[in-house]
Amino acid sequence: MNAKRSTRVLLILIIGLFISGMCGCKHYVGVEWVVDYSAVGKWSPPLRDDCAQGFYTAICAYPDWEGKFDRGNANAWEEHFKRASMGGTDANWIDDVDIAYFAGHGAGAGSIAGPTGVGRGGGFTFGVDAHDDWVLAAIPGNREPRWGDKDLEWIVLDVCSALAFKSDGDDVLYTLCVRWANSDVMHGLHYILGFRTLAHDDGDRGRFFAEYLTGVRDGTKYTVREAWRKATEDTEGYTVQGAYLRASSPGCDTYDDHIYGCGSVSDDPDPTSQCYCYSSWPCN
Amino acid sequence: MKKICLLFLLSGALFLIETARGDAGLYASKNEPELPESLALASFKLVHPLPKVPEKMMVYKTIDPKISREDITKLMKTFGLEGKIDDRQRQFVVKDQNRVLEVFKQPGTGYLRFSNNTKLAIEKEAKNLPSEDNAIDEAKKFLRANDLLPENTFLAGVGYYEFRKYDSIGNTIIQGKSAVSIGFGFKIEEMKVEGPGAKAGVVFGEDGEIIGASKIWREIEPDKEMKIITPEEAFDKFKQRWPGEAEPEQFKRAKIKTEVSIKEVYVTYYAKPGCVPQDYIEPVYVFKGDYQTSSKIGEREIKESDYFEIIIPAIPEK
Repeated sequence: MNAKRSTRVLLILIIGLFISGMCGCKHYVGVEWVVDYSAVGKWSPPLRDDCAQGFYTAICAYPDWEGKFDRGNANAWEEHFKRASMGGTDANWIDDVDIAYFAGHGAGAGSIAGPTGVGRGGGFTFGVDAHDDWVLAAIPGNREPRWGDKDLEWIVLDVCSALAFKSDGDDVLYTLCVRWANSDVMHGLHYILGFRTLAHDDGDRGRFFAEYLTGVRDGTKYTVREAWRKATEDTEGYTVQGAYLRASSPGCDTYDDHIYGCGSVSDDPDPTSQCYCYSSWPCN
Repeated sequence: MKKICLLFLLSGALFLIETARGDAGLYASKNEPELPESLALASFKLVHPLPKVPEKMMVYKTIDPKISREDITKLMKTFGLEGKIDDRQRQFVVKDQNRVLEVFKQPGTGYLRFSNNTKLAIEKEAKNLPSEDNAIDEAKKFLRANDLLPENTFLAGVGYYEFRKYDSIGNTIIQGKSAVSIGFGFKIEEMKVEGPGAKAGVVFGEDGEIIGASKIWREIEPDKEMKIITPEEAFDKFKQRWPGEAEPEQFKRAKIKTEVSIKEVYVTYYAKPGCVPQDYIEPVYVFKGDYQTSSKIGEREIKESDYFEIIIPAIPEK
C-alpha cells in the first residue's frame, strides 16, 4: 500500500511539474544579420549587427523570454528562413522562435533570370551564396518562406522596401499580395514589420523596438504595431516610410497584439479565412 | 683574354636575364591565378566630380536641454493632456490614456514628441483631412506658437499615413489615408542636416485634429574648427565599404561585377536619434547613387540593381 501511495504521489508530482513547466513557459527570440556583403557584390552596412543584437539583448532581458539564436554574416543563411518543402530548415530556426529580427539588405531590382530578379521588395538578401543561395524570394513560382505554421508570430525585416507597393516603382515587379500578403507565406504568422521605402543603416532601431515592446522606454508596453512605428520614427527621417502587414481572421484579430508577457496576444489567424491589413507612415 | 672573359660573363648574364623574363611571361599567361568563384570586384564611376570643400569645418557642441516641470505643464495645456508628470531618469513623460508627451532632459539629447497612439497609423479613413497647403500653414503656425520651429528650419515635405485591407484572396476591400504629416528639416550654416535627430513636424488626423507633433533637435553652439578629410580621402573610405576595386582587365574577369555609380557627393552635418546623447554635431560626407551587380555562376545568371546612401565621417579618426 505504501509503495502504491508513493508511486501515486510521485506521479502527481511529475504531472504537476510538467503542467507548471507549461504555464511558466518560455518564449523565444532569434535574430540574423549581415554586415559583410562583399562576397555577393553589395556594400557592407556596418550597423546591422548592432541593430539586430540590440533587439535580441533587450528582449532576452525581459522575464520569460530567452534567446535561441544570434547568427551573423557568413552564419546567416537563407535556408533558415525557407520552408522545408523547398529544401529549407525554417522549422529549426525562424519558425522555432516567437519573434524574429533580420537586419541586412533588401532585394533590389533585377532581371528575371537566376535567384535574384525578384524585384524590389520581393525578398531580402544574405552575405553568402551558400546554404541554399543569397536571396530569400517571395515571388510567384518561387515563394520560399512559409512562416507561422510552427511557432513564429512576428518577424521584422529591417531591410529596404520589403513592404513596397507595386505602384511605388517600376522596379517593384509583384504586388504585395502576391509577395507576402497571402496564406502561403503568412501561415499562422501575425505580423511582418518593415519599410515601404529605402531605410538607413541604423544601430539603435532594434533596441528601441524592444524597449517600446517591454515598457523599458517610458513605462508603457506598446502593441507590436505601435512599438514598430515609434522605433522607426526615432531612427529615420521624413523621406522614409515604415510599414507593417498583419493577418487577421474572425476571432483572431491581431490589431492589439503585444509580445508575450506584455499584454494580450491573439491566437494565430486561420490561413483559410484570414484577411490582410497594411499600414504605412512617414517617419517624421 | 680578360676582355673575352668579361664579354662571356656579360653574355651569360644577359642570357640568364632574358630566360628569366621569358619564363615569367610564360607563367603569367599559362599559370594566371584563377579568381575564386565567389570573388566580387567593383568599379566606381563619379557621375559628377567630387565637391570642393573647405580645409576646416566647425564642430558644434550640443547644449544640454533645459526643461523643467513648468515647461511640461505648459506643453500639457498645449496638447490638452491631463495626468501626472512622470519624471524619469532620461525624460519627462505624460500619459493621458493613449496620448503621450515625451520630452528628453538627458544631457546630449534633443527630443520632444506628442503622440496620439490611438489615432496614428490606424487602419481607417480620416474624414476632412486638411489640404496640403492648409496643413503646411497650420503646422508652421502651431510649431512657431509653441517655440518648436526655429529659424534654421526648412519645409521638408508632406507625407501620408496610408492603409489597405485585402480579403483572403488578395482583393482590395478598402484603402485610404488616415493622416497627413508635414515635416521640417534643420540646417546648419545653410547645409541641410542629415540623420533622424534633425526634424520637426505635425500630423493631422480627422477634421484636422493634431494627433502628432515633434521637435527632434539638439541646441548647439560652435565649439572649434577642425580639419576634415579631403573628398579624395572620403572617396577612398567610401570604396572600402564595397568589394575590392579592380583594374579594368581584372574587373572583366570577375565572377561578380559591381558597378557603382556615384551621382551626388556633398558635405553636411549628421544628427543621431534625438533620444540618445550626442555631445558634438560633426561634419560628414554623403554619397548617393546606385549600383548594379551582375554575375554568372555555373548556369545561374544574376543581375540586381539598387540605390545607396552612405555616410562617411569627415573628421579624421584619432
